[in-house]
Amino acid sequence: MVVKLYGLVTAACPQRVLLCFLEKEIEFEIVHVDLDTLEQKKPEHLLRQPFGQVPAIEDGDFKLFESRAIARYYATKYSNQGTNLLGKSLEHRAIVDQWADVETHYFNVLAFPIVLNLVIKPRLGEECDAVLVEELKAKLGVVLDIYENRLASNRFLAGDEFTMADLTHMPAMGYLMRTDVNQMVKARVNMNRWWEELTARPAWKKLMKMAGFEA
Amino acid sequence: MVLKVYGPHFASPKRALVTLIEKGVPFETVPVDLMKGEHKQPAYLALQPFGTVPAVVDGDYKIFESRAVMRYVAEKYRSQGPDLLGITVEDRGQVEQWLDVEATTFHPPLLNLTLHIMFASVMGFPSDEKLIKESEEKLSAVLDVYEAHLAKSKYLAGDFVSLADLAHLPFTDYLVGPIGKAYMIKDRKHVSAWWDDISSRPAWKETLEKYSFPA
Repeated sequence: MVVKLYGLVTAACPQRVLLCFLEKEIEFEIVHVDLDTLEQKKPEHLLRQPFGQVPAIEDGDFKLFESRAIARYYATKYSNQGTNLLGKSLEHRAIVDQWADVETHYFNVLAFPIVLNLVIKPRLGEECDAVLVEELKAKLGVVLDIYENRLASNRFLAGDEFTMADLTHMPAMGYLMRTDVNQMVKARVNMNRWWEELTARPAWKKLMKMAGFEA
Repeated sequence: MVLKVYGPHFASPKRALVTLIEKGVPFETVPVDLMKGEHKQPAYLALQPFGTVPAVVDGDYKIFESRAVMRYVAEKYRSQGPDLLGITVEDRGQVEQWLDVEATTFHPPLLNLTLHIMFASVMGFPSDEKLIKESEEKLSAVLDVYEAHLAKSKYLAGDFVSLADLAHLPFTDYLVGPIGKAYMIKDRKHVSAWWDDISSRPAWKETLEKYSFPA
């Protein structure tokens, strides 16, 4: 039986799980949840994800939600196949967790409202809050400087190897890089180098193809 | 050399402290004077580049992000004290799920209430009444989901207390105390019972006794 991912391939949080599946060579099935018609708020989906969000997974009797928790679960369960996403020792794993948590608290809190205003609102015909976007970009600049410094002495966020810490950033980064925020990344030598390496990974290329973002 | 936790008087470091006490791990604390801006000084930024608390130093090893520290301690000392990660990989998946719910969904509105009700005047910014109202509404909707879940589950991840429950302690303690919104917990039968249970654990009582913010 193959794990079912409820969500859609173009949404950032489901992409986090899909990337994990692709890196770990885990077979999966996507069950489409139509966000445009608010299917995620309907009773059937609320049974899988009581906060009315995507993704959720069903793997036989086992159910889980929160994309980062799902990714960690599969990275642990399939630790013997595909890319090792959780580090080589307990201490290394904790640094992976540290930078993965940084994504939640420092990066995503800024990236999400920027993408909401610059990408999603225009698509829905809503007005973008330009003043807010400028404030958020200023804060993001400070955060990116910290990342730049980290990546100056580390090839990836948690050290020499690609881990969950890098993977968890990729969906939101993918969206940010489609806006003029890409200038902020390109202006930082190490962030640019890091992003180029991440996007050269076969799992990312497969995901982009699945999402219809690349030829 | 003993593990050191920086900034014990503040809320986020208490996630690490309560975990250390639950697991019976010896540690020392190092105060950080946020009022004097000690967290923005180079010496502290070398430990935590985002300038927030906690930071943890364990010999040569440094780690930040309170929930990453919790996971590290729970894993390293798995064989002593309560098993805060559950027993199976699936148990751990549930722990990670609710730990992430706390981080992504419960914490942000509660953090707004904390900053705007408890710390606005001290930190010198105007308290945003509209944001307070919206944050209370958001947190209320989240607590409704918790109420339904805790009606079927003794603790968040199952019938065992875990990191997911402990992660809620420090800021919920603010909510029922100085924020003045204990009704949000007390008016919900199962959330209230859960709160009474976890907040009466000896490890949490010891955390508050030793590291409460000086009056």
